[in-house]
Amino acid sequence: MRTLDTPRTTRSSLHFATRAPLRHAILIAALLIMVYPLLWMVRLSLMPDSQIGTAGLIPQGDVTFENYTSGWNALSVPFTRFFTNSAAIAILSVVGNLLTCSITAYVLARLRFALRGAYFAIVIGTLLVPFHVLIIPQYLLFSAFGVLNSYIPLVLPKFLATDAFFIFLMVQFVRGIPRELDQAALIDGAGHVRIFWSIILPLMRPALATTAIFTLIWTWNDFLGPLVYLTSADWYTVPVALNSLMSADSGLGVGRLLAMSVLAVVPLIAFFIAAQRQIVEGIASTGLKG
Amino acid sequence: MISRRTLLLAAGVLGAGAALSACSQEGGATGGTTKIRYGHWDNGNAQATFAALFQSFMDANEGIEVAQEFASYADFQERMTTQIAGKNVADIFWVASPQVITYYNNNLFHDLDELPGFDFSQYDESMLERIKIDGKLNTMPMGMSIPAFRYNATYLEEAGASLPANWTWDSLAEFLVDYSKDAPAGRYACLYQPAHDLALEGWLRQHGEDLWTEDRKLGASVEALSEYVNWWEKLRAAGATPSFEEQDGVAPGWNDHGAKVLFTVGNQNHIIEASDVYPDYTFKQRVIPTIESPAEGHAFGYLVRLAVYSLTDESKLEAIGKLLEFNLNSAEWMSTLGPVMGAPISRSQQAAARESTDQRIQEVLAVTDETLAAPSRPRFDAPPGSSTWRMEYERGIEAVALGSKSITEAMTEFHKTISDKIG
Amino acid sequence: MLIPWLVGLLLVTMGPLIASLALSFTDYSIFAAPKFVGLQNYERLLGDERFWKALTVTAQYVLLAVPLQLALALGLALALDRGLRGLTFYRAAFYLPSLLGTSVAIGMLWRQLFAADGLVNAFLAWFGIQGGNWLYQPDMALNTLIILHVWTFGSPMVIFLAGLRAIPVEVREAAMVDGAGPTRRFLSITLPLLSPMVLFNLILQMAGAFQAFNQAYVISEGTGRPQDSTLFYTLYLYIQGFVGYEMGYASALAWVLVAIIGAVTAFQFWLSRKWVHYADS
Repeated sequence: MRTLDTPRTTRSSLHFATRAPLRHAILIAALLIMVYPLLWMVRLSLMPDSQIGTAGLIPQGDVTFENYTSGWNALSVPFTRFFTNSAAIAILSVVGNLLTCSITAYVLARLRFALRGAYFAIVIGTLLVPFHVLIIPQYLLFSAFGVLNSYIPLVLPKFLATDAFFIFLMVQFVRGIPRELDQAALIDGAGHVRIFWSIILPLMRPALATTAIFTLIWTWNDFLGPLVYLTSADWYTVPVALNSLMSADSGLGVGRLLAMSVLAVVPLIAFFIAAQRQIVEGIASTGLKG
Repeated sequence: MISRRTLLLAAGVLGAGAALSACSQEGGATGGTTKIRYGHWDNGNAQATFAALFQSFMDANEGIEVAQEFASYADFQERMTTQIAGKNVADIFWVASPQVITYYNNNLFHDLDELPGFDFSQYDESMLERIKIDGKLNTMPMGMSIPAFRYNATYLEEAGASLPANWTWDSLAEFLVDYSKDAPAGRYACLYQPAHDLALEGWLRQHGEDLWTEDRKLGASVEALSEYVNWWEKLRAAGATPSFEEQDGVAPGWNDHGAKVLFTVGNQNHIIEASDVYPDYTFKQRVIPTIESPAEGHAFGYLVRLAVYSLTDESKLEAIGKLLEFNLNSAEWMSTLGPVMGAPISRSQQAAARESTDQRIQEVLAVTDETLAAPSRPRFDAPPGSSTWRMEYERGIEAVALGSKSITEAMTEFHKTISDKIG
Repeated sequence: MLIPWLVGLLLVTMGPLIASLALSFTDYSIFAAPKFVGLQNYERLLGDERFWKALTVTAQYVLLAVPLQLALALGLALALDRGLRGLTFYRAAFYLPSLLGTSVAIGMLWRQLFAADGLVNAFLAWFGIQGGNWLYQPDMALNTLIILHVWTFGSPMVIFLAGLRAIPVEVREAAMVDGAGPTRRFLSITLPLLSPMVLFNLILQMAGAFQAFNQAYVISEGTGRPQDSTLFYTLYLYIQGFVGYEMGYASALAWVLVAIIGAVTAFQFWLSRKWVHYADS
């Protein structure tokens, strides 16, 4: 079956060749409008505070790095620490999700056991509940275990397969893998662990990639959880630190807020550029299956 | 090429290791070191200064570690919520004014009468008496905030004007309208600020009312509230203040709008940070004006407080006493930080402040002295259930400024909402 | 084999879930133990003016932002879907904003953008349009949030692109040979074949939009101003629980939201039978 990935006929190519420049022009224009706010933000962050208010469409003003230097050290702990915390939590979360969600997905998709339906329904149900509802009981739980002000409340759930979204994603994906492969392995005498590890997992690569990438992005941007669980500045993640720079009636200029916001966003963009093919392919292929 | 298995294994080990190390950070004293958790917010810029002060304390006091737990005001209150529920509030924590009674009712405060190593003689007996609840001293005042009308002395001089001799609301209103008539374009007499809570309270007290009464109710009458908002509305209508949109709502940011106005309402201690934003101008301030015949004892100062957590380890009290002695009584603290959280209360810190050559600190002290010299009837703290009152009040003013409700309507609604919540 | 994960799910998710449902029938102020009050919270909710306002605002947001976002996503997916050179680049570039969409940093940027002297007004001034102070006008403030949501159209766009690519070329070319014009082809061939993707995006985006919080919080500084015009449902929930200390009431609000999202999603699925065409049916 031919899809758009297969080469086109000559006639169609010519047809498109003549309209391509116009199309590109429109697309570039749309892109510029979309992305301009980000560029604007970067430009403003490089301007002294006093000139930001009058910046306008194409900001005219001096170029200075003072917002970055003052913002970096504005809190009692330099931003290096915040970036480290964010990165550590993100990476640990990715490992946790990859490990546990895949196993859970395999069990839900392939194994038969009583209450499987109920379990699955609960998993999906948790997708509907806003985090604010769960936070007090969860907080009390972690507090009882004495693990507050550490990575644990944020990372442990990832090792306990609680991210319903990815479980759902992976279940759908595993359902798309033909059972014949399992059968063949079973005949060969393989147990579930073997089947999971050697057959299913390798075939789940797009789903795993998507999970890894989105876990990374979402934990990087996560705000309320870190705010509540991390009480001393040396444990802060970047969004929490950013938010604490923004005090309502403070004498702070908006310049360093923007500067730190730019820095908060840069790792995401860098990561995105490096992994964009994977990201986009990941959404596309997993979005389609099932 | 590392095999997948190895990678996973490594990740698992890494994860476990990090989790474990994260685990060990939380926890009490490690062989001889007492760790004190100090929870606070600030007005804007002082977090790093606090950190430096704590470091100085730690350098001078081996064996005591101070863990600074800072958050912006709103975040701090939010975090307190979960900490209270989880029974792990910081050892020393600041108390927001609407929460004092609530926290007390829920046994958050440790008694402070017997705090070791703390010099209570630095305090005025009557001051301490005033903040005792049920006869027990369980919070300490850090600073006193007093509402003030702050003005740009440079602008005043430029206009060749002088402030009204008779410092009443009416004469001030007249002056502001006059100033705005001749003011340069884009300049206003004052920011539109009926939302400033302490100034409102001052107005109410002058009318013989209390914002919060002794029996824990909302003491403001709809009439007095409406009259106050009306005073501001008349200014706005006369063009003496910027429009609602022009100043970004009812709580205009000083950074964005400070240069537009001659006057602004603020706490007397804010003058320092405010003038840092506009170093080219000189700022001065006055106490808020009065009505023609104000009620007796209307003068007041709002005490910013801190407390010690009731569930704190008793063995830490000695170290806590030392830290609080440094925080509240030492000259070093006051000279480094300044009266950023209000005018100093302890005699030692007052003396330190008076020595300062910074004119602005003298401005702070001038307003404070004037207020303290006047007779003052007792002031009562906000009752439980009132924690959203400022938000509700601002919403009411917003409705008035936008023209969607009349002043009386808005204030009646505010009164009802808060009274219902207090119950 | 599942035991550890089961424990995890129970402890960290189910437990708190059930606890919060139980809390919704109590008066719980954090400080004191919860006090059972039956259906009182739910009754109060019905008579709560701000509850209805929050619901209205959220509904407005969902009903405006999601269709606009999906329309834009579909439009751009179609535009990109023609074997254009640089497809990967465009796809990635348009996707970028949705990556950043819910971050606090972008919330702050948006406040700057729509400030009285911000980028948007400067842009409008170029066309001679006088923009007001967006964030302080009750009838404009919500639009800034809607625009923010529409800005993140990249995510559904990518899904549409994938869906378009899966449509067999033979089907399209057959239509072209039949003499069908582009509009006809779109309406009769492309759209129906794409409908599962549309449903997927619709449900995903709507469920997300109902629960939106971060940006409303950052842009209104936690108050839902001006005049509650940006009071998203979850923001109201947050104010009741974390500022007003009424955890019981907040839990009730949360469960009402769950019910609403559930009902809307179920309705979507039911309605989908009328317009969604599955390839294997």
